[in-house]
Amino acid sequence: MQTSPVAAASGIATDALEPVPLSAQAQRKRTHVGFWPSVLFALAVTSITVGIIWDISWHISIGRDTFWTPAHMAVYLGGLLGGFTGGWLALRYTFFPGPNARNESVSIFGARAPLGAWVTMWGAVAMLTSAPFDDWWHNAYGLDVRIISPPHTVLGIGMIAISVGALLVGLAHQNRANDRTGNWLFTYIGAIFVTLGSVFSMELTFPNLQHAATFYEACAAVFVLRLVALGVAGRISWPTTRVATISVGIQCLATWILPLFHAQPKLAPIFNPVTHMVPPAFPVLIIVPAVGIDLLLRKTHLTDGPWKRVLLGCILGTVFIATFIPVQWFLAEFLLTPHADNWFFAGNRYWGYQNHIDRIWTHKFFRVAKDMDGYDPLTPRAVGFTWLIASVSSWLGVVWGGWMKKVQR
Amino acid sequence: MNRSRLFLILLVFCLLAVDARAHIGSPDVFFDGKIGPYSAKVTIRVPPVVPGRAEIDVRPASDRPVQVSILPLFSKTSLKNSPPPEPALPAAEEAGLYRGDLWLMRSGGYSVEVKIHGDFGEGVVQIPVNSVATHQLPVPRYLAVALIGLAGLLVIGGLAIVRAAAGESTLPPDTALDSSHRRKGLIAVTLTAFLCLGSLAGGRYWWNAEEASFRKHLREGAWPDLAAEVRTEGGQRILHLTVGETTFGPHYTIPLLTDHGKLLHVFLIGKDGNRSVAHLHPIRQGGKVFEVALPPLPEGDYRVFVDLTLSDTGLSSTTTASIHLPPVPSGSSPSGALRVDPDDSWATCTAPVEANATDTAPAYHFEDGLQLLWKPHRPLRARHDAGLQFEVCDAAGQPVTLEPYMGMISHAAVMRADGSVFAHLHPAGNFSMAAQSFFESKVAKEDSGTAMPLEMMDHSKMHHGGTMTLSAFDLPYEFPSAGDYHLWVQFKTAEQVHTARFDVTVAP
Repeated sequence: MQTSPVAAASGIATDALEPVPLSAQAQRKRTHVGFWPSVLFALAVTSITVGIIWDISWHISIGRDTFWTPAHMAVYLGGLLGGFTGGWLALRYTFFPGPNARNESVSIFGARAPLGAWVTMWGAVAMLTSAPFDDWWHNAYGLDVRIISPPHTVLGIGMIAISVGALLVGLAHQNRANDRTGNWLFTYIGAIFVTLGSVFSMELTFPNLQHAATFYEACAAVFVLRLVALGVAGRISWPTTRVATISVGIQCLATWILPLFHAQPKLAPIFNPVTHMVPPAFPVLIIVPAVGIDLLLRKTHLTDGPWKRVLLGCILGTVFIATFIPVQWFLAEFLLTPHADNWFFAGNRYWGYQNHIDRIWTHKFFRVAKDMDGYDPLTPRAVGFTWLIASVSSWLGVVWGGWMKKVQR
Repeated sequence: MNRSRLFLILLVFCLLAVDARAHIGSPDVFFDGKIGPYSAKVTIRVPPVVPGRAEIDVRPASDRPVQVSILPLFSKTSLKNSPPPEPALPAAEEAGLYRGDLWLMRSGGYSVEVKIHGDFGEGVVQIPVNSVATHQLPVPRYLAVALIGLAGLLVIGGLAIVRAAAGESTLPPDTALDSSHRRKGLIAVTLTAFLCLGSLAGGRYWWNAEEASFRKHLREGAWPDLAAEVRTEGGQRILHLTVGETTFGPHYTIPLLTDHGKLLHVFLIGKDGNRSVAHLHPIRQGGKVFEVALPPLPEGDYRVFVDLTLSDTGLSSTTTASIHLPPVPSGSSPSGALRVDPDDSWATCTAPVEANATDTAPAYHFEDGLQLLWKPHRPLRARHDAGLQFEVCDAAGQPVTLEPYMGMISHAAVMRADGSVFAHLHPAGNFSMAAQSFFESKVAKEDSGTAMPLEMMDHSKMHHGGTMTLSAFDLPYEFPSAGDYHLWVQFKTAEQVHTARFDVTVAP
């Protein structure tokens, strides 16, 4: 029986970076097997991400929608593509197994498929579940035209599961074959995974909230786990930085492209008569902490023991708050000045039709004065709490990333 | 106002803390009248939740095709910021029916602007609606079963995936699952099961918080609060009403529009076999305190229903209470401590008419020989046109000329026998005429740049309904639910207000 150094390692062994020796024929076969599902999954998560960003913009620009709006279609298409691709893999590995089927799949209730395929199917079922749940919610409580609501959370978990499944399919392929195609798929799908986190935390990350403690705590919870996990699991140089850069680039494209399209609100009341599709605000600059995370992960060997991983999590948490807070603090100050009122930074373009537009408050920070509701300043205590969240997230990211690095099937 | 809070509220489109409702248990709005040169009936089915979608049916009385559009106007935004009108399109199931829907996104006062364009030109009407959460739909059984099934599939499937992820997925090629990996899988499944339980508990907590927030804005019954008491003073029984003391606080002056020239319309309806009814108009004595001298109604328990329209939003509402009237003071004649409104009316309908037979025209006979005929109509069914078409005749069966009573050819009140439904009807519809004036004034002001005094829009001098003749009138209405109802119909002739009562049973 062949034993891989990856399996022999406890935690994350550095020698796991070495590819598993394979015959040229087997390697070519495995590359072929893993490539097209990964591409289809990448298309699925792309469709989901484009659709959800488009849909949010639609709701704050036009308002009135139907089941058949293009944004909804993009989301459904992504969910269906992810689910059916996973299902196709399950059928293929269960009923038409090739010679390496057992090495590329796991068993669930007797059926076989790559682990990532199972996760994407699970995500598609979660998205499917959210549809009747959301429909009933509209009837029972009114239309939940907001991002964070119980049915939308089920939908969001489903979307994120599809992106994780896509990532796992790519990683398993990458871990087995270590070919370059796997690297760019990993980077791209990882960026989508981070972008989806950014989209679902959009209500907490508006520029006007970026001097409040909640913003930094939310970012520590949303981004650090993802960035560290991808940084540990990635087999390319500067994985976190690449992923963060592409994610910010995707969000920038949304910020720049959406306003180019005409839109007219179709629901009353209209407080802000927008004339274009409202974009998301300028993205949070996660590139800076990503560079710090990559630098630290390149230099450290603290991933090969439980307590070392805890220590590494604390250090990564420190790196995050040391790099992220000052950069984002001053970027936020700039974003609220008239100098950011342009197409690049979109400082004056992210207000929806139901926002009262008033420079006196659209250009100031919220929750930072005692007379404001939700008073929540970034005090030293809040920084400490942010560090705690970032450190725990980092530790979880190290553990999760270490496991992802070992996924073979 | 705290802007950051406002921003967040607007961002997530949360409900505003503005709650009111027209009538009780009867939220749908019915219009019957002229829209420019066209006679038309309009039904607006108001959504039970906010944001929700209102369904609008327009039935123009026109043989020629017309174009119908509908537009929601919110009381607190400028008309120039209105969205484009939505077309109401011909419906396949009924000739002459035009159907459309509009989203009501905020709690508060809206007007649905209905516009008809055809060979005879263009007509526009404002029909006020209240956008408030009135009830919550339960989870249908099939949906609950489906959701539980899907949730179970997600939990079981998720645990199986975690087991495989922790065990088999990391096995190198050609390696069988060993006890170590099995153990890892079981540990992961156990931890995930606890995580699932925690997530379900967190989800339940979140859902309960959402439910509590929704119920805070839910107005399933009357609004605002009403305190009613009766005192005897100067030979008069004085009904003392305090409106919204709890809702608005002690130092708040409730802003009201006059409806048919009256701030409040009060209906006193006898309970427990007491067949007396009164339609009164109290006088404001303070910010939210109103008083009215009671007519000689017999002693007993009464339900009090009070209709009002807020002047800041155009919202209309009905509030309710119960009182016990003491006996009519005997001896000295009233000293007139409180002025009696000349439009106050009352009656004791000793012989209410059972009006369930549909092949004949049930008639209510008055002591002076007049009779009110309810024209033959289809069997009464909930959420179907009630066919409230009436004609007033003398003892010989000859039509009698009617006079406006507070600007309308008729006023009517509908109450479900258990008091859970109450509505105030007119030939023009069951909406607040004051709210309609509010929106017409707003439109005129923004169109012309000058405000049109609400007095000029006073519908006490304008509305007579769309299909009435001098002796006959229609009351557009649909009973909202099955059950036993009482219907009081008022009209005025020879300067005398008459009140008839019909008792009906409405089928599901």
